[in-house]
Formats: sequence, C-alpha cells, structure tokens
Amino acid sequence: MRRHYANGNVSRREEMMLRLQELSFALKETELFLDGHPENRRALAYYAEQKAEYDTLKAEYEATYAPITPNATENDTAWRWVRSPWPWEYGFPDGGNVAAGALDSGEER
Amino acid sequence: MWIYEKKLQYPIKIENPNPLYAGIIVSQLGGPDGELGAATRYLSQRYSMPYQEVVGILTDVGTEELAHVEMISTILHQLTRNLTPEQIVEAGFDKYFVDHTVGVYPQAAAGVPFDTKYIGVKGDVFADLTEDLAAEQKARVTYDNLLRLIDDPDVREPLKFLRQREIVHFQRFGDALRVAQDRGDAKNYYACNPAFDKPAREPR
Repeated sequence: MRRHYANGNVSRREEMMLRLQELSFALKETELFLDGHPENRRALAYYAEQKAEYDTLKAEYEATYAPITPNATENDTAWRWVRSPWPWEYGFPDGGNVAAGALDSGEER
Repeated sequence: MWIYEKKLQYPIKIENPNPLYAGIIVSQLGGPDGELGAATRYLSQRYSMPYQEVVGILTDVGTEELAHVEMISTILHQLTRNLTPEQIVEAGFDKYFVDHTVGVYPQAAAGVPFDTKYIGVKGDVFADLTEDLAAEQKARVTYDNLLRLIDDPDVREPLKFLRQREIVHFQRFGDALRVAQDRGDAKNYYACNPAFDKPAREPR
C-alpha cells in the first residue's frame, strides 16, 4: 500500500486516509475471522486495539477534512457530505470529469 | 441496512488512461465471476442459512464485495478519463462507448450485460457454501488473467489487492463449511438440508 504512493508527494490528508484504510483493513480482516471463530480471545483483543485507533483517527480526519460517514456533523453550517471529493475522484482536482475531451471534440465534427 | 463510508477499501490513483484495460477489467464488475455477482450471491444466500456464524460470514464478505464493486468501478472511471475519439477507436472501446459513453455499466468483457444467471442461491447449506468456495477461486483466476495482460503498476496494485481478497474469502468460506459440518447430523451427514428438511434451532 505504501509503495502505491512512493513516487508522489503525499499530503497529510492522503497520509491520514491511508492509515484509516490500513486500520479498517485490519478491522475487516479480523471481523471475517471472528465470524468463524467467535470465541478467539486474541482476535477479540486485536480487534479492540485497532478499533480504538481507527475511531480516534476517523474523528480527527472528519473534524479536519471531510466526513467519512454522513452522520459526522458537528455545529456545521452546510451539509459537508457533498462538499468533498468522492473516493473515485481522490487526487484528481477536476474530479475526473470525464470525457470532456472526447465529447467536445465529437460535437465539433 | 448499510452505511456508506466515503473512502475506498484500497487507494486507487491511475495517472494514465487506458480504454483497452477498461474493456477487460469491466468483467470483474459485471462478468460471470465479477464483484457484483459476488455481493448479490452472498447477501442473497443469507436468508436460508441456519447457522449464525455462517450468516455473519455471508453478510460481512458480501458487504466487502460491495466495496470491491466500488474499487473496480473507480479503476474503470479513472482508466477512461479525458479520452479522445481516436484513443477510443484505437483501443476497441468504441463498442462500449457508443452505448454507455464513459459511464460505468456492469457487463462482461465480451459485452454481455450482467446477469444473475452467473450466481447460485440454492437455499441449501452445502450447495450454497461449495458454490461460494468455487466462486472465490474463479474470481481469483480472472484476476490472474488480468494481471497477465496488464503492465501499469497503478492498475496492477489494486488488482493484486483484490486477488488476495479472493484467497482470504476462500479461507473464510472454508471456516463457514467447517461450522456447517460440525453442526451436521453425524448419521445423516449431507443427505438432508438442515435449512428445509429439518429446521434446527441454533444452540445458544
């Protein structure tokens, strides 16, 4: 996962998102294991540990940058949910708003 | 119910558009072993599944598959940004483009639209779980084939992640099968469907 950003400058925001992705991956993986081994104490302890870090970082990310879930609102004066990029637009300032090239030059013909 | 999280399961940032890659990767969205079929299969199988642990696995793997639908769709979206008509024709993406422009539509690489005929919901514990094990292997093979055809590391990294998830899900459905077998009747191991012939209360 680190390697993926190795050749670019990573902003603080991207770094936090990457850590959130790592933590939710650990949670997801443990969740699937616990479904089949619900009494496994080591897995339960690991899950609790990762969840605590995830919750703290999620709250910090949402306060600083943008909501991850729509209910992350606090004294907001606008609905922030629609005021930040969607996940498929990350890193593309134009939002990848597509095919402008293709469609425009198509119409010119 | 579900709550959406505004983040990808794994980061995707593809610098160079490539409609040829999009035209083959689309199979993992709407093809015979794609992520949309996976999510639909597991989430639909839950209702006739008599064991709590197995319902948990179907729910949580099925939910993860929805995140994979979003990852594949993101790859397709980023691979088809800012294309010119020349690039579209050159890559053979014209047949997709004429019907869908660069919208993300679930179909197989050969152009066949997504079909629930790709999935099985038999309402039988062992029929459904062995289908799920095979489905994860088939999806893994499809990722192997994509990785044989694709060079760009920006595209390969998320595909390699998704391939690994198929392997892990196969392990977890192995857990599910073990749980189901442990609950089976030793004298009549596979012959009856505990979800229909012999409704069994979950031991608490």
